[in-house]
Amino acid sequence: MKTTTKLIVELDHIRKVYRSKQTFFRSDQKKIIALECLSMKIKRGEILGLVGESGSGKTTIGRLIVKLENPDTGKIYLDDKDISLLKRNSLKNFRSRLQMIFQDPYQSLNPQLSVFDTVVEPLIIHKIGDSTSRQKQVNQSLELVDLKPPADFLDSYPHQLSGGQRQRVAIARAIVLKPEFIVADEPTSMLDATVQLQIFDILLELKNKLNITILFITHSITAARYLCDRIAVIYRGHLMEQGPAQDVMTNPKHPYTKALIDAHPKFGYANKKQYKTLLKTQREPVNGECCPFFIRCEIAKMGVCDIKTPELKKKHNHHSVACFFS
Amino acid sequence: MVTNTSDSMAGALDMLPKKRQKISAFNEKWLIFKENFIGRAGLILLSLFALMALLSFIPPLIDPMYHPMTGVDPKISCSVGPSIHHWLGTDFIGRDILSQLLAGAKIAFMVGISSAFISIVLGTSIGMIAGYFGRYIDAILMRLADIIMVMPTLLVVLIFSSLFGQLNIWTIVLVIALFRWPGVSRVIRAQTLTLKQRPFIEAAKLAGASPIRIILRHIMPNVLPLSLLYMTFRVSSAIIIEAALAFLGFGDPSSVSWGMMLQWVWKTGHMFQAPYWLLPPGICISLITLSFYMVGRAMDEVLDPRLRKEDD
Amino acid sequence: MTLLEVKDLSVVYQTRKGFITALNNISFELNRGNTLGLVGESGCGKSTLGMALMRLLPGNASIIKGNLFFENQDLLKLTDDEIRQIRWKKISMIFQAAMNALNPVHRVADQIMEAITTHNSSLLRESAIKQTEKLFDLVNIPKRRMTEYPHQYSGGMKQRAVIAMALACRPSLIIADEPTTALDVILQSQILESIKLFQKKLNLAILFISHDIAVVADICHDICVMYAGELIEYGAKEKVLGAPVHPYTKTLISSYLTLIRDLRPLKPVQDSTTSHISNPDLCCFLNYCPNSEKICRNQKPVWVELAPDHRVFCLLANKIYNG
Ligand SMILES: Nc1ncnc2c1ncn2[C@@H]1O[C@H](COP(=O)(O)OP(=O)(O)OP(=O)(O)O)[C@@H](O)[C@H]1O
Ligand SMILES: Nc1ncnc2c1ncn2[C@@H]1O[C@H](COP(=O)(O)OP(=O)(O)OP(=O)(O)O)[C@@H](O)[C@H]1O
Ligand SMILES: [Mg+2]
Ligand SMILES: [Mg+2]
Repeated sequence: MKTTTKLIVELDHIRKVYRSKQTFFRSDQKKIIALECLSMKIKRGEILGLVGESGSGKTTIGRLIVKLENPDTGKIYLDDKDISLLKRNSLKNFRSRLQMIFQDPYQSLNPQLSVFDTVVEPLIIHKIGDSTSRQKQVNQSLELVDLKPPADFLDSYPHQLSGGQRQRVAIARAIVLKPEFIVADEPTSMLDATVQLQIFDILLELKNKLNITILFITHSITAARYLCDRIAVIYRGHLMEQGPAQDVMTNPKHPYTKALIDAHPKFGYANKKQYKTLLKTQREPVNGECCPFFIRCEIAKMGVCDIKTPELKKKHNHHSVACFFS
Repeated sequence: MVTNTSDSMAGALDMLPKKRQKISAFNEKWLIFKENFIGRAGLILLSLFALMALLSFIPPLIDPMYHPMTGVDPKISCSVGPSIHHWLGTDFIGRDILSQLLAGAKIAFMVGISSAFISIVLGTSIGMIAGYFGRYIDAILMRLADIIMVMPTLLVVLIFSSLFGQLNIWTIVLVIALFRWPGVSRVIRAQTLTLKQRPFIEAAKLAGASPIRIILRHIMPNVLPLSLLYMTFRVSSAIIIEAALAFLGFGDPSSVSWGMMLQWVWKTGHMFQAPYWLLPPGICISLITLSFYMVGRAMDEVLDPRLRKEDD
Repeated sequence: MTLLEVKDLSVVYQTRKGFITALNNISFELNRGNTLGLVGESGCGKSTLGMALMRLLPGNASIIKGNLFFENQDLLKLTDDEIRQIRWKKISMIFQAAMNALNPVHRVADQIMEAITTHNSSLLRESAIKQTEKLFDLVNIPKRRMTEYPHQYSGGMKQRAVIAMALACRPSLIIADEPTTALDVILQSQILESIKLFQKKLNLAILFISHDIAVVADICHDICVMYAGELIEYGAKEKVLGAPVHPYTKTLISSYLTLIRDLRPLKPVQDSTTSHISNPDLCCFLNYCPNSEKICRNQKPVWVELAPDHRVFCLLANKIYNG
């Protein structure tokens, strides 16, 4: 791998806190720290897998990158330009370069728009082509996501589609503009294995042919392994481990990554060796600074893990880990 | 009331009849509506009134003496009860009550529907704008709505007409419309606020859609059913306001409305002498507002019960 | 004892373009305390089946044929009031659109409590709160987040709340439509464990709809495989997943990504040389089938019983089974 691969997106010490609204009756404000001091680099033309448990902040990262949300502190750069400075026209241009496939296809499609109207919308907004060429592009996208023949689906409304079909419409909408960067938030969670593979192959093709960069958010480590060039593991808003996909999967360093691999349902092969890094009963949480995984970590040591937050350290070959004992 | 949406969906679907021949979501809703007794009764009543309004042009054609405003029966000079020539009797100068009643239906529909329509258009657009843009735009528009909402419409119209003399019917329509949008806009704003958080709006934003486009293409179709529902309620209230104005003597003197008829009964002292004159307009006003209200209620049940809010 | 028996169920959707057959002659049984897995390709009618069991099909769907026996009464013959008595109390469902089942304007805990109290009006408030807390515990949501609104939850948390809601009334049958899709593997395995526990405790029957065969393999006793609205293979887990016979089941299993397999998985390819055949009487997988023979294009498929607990809807079943 060349060391000077061009970056497309860079997150620099991002922190994002969600606050519950203060109301007249309740002055206590709950804070949910979604992301904590997270830095990450995404190279042009790669597929970066983002894995982590539910609620760890994966979607939040995606939303920050496409500028649906702004970070509390830290900066996000697209091609070395700070995206928080974008205004009007440059924002619209930005929108045509980045797309997101939302996690929940039941919510991300407008119930009042037909499939055609949904998929053609970005083309109309960015004034691409005329009506016949738009029609063609929509058909192409639908065919790409295996909604065949497209004519059967064009006039359908979301409530007439199954979960997996909606998900594919959402994917078709995202790729119709041929953006440079796609945030795919669990794009295949509702698809069966065969269609899932098909979608992965489409994403791979997009990457190889059009040099599209993809941030692939998933909780399926097997999918990440199949599709991604690099994998980043996050836990409670902290980046835990990052490295080439093959490396992270076959030689995981962080106890949390090991736990994820352990928990993956075993199917089609005999019980492999287990890492056993997840505590059966959680430890008492520590006040103040500590490793975020401390309360669930089997290998954590008192006096080390409960007084300091480990930093992401490069181990070898672009593989970095945030753990004192790796 | 906390309702499990899936349960309420079950409720709505349970109302469906056994024969299943619907095609679209609209048809499905229409069927639920038809099954609803209140809705059916309201609709039947409304079509009767519509028929009355449609028939209102017939009496003057038969004989100029049946013109509701200018036609007088030369043989009659005071109010008489029902007869063969005048099925509902005549008023104090010999004008036919039935033809006045029919003409009143036309006015009621005109006033009710046009002012409801204007106030709904205003209320919906203001509600969507306030809800979508939020911040100071929201604050300004909603304070404005609050101010207008606390002003009693009737009183304002009274002040207007004492300032500008007799108001014509279209001015009355406009004034009623201008003072009845805040209730709608609050509901639409609330609806827009929940829609705004839905991912499909975010998806549209990501596609680069401008705020105007998002409002028109994505939010409006989703709030329109609610607006239509409110329109039926607004029609009732507009008809009542117009009737009250006319009764108090601030109506348009060149048109015959039911409120106007009531005023004539009262002014000429026939309140307790001529029930044939007093009752028809009174009953009509009550029934037409009731029927619009019933249709609204039925529509309400067809729509998501979550959207149910009390009319102001 | 058989709790649920589905017999020859067929459902069609009416659309502007004509009829779509969503389910065609589906039959299976489910015993108390058992879990039946329903797998199949996206859009093959799995959710439709679940909705039919709840009698919650949308207006343009009609059940054209079949019976649904639940505790020996035919669900399709019940009146709407009777079915309402059964729904949620005896049969509950975790909807595929799990997140949508939560009302955005009410706190999550209130909604679950509501589900408990509406069907159990004699319950005291305190014990309802206790039960709600227990449910939150079961699905592993911290108590301090009980009072939040749905939009403050992440996708997985909403899904867990919905699972809690389905368990609220202690039904005897749960239809779980992709209940773990939004969950990470650690949580998924925890929830599957707690579902198993719950199932033992209450002798619960579960119809588990999923596209993830690994999950189905973990939790289910029996498995139905569906393709394009038809049941094509049905039997004990060990048989169906261990020794699949129907070509579709085989492709489905072989395209499953695992952690150790390095080979590129197979995926079904349409044979472009033969023309697309669309005859509703013939095998539904014909156009994609790698094993298809002449007989498949001329004859209706039949059910072949390979073992008492293993049936396959394929003309070539015996041939494939015997090597
Ligand atoms: N609008 C919001 N208000 C308050 N809290 C929020 C909001 N959005 C997300 N959160 C919280 O931030 C945290 C991270 O959420 P996020 O959606 O990024 O998780 P995720 O990794 O995508 O999880 P999942 O895999 O379940 O989708 C969660 O604890 C969530 O409850
Ligand atoms: N209301 C409807 N009107 C018309 N067709 C419908 C309707 N609902 C579903 N369908 C069609 O019926 C078929 C079966 O849908 P269903 O939702 O049961 O699939 P599914 O097996 O649950 O798929 P998934 O795994 O993707 O959720 C699909 O092809 C779908 O397009
Ligand atoms: Mg998420
Ligand atoms: Mg489904």
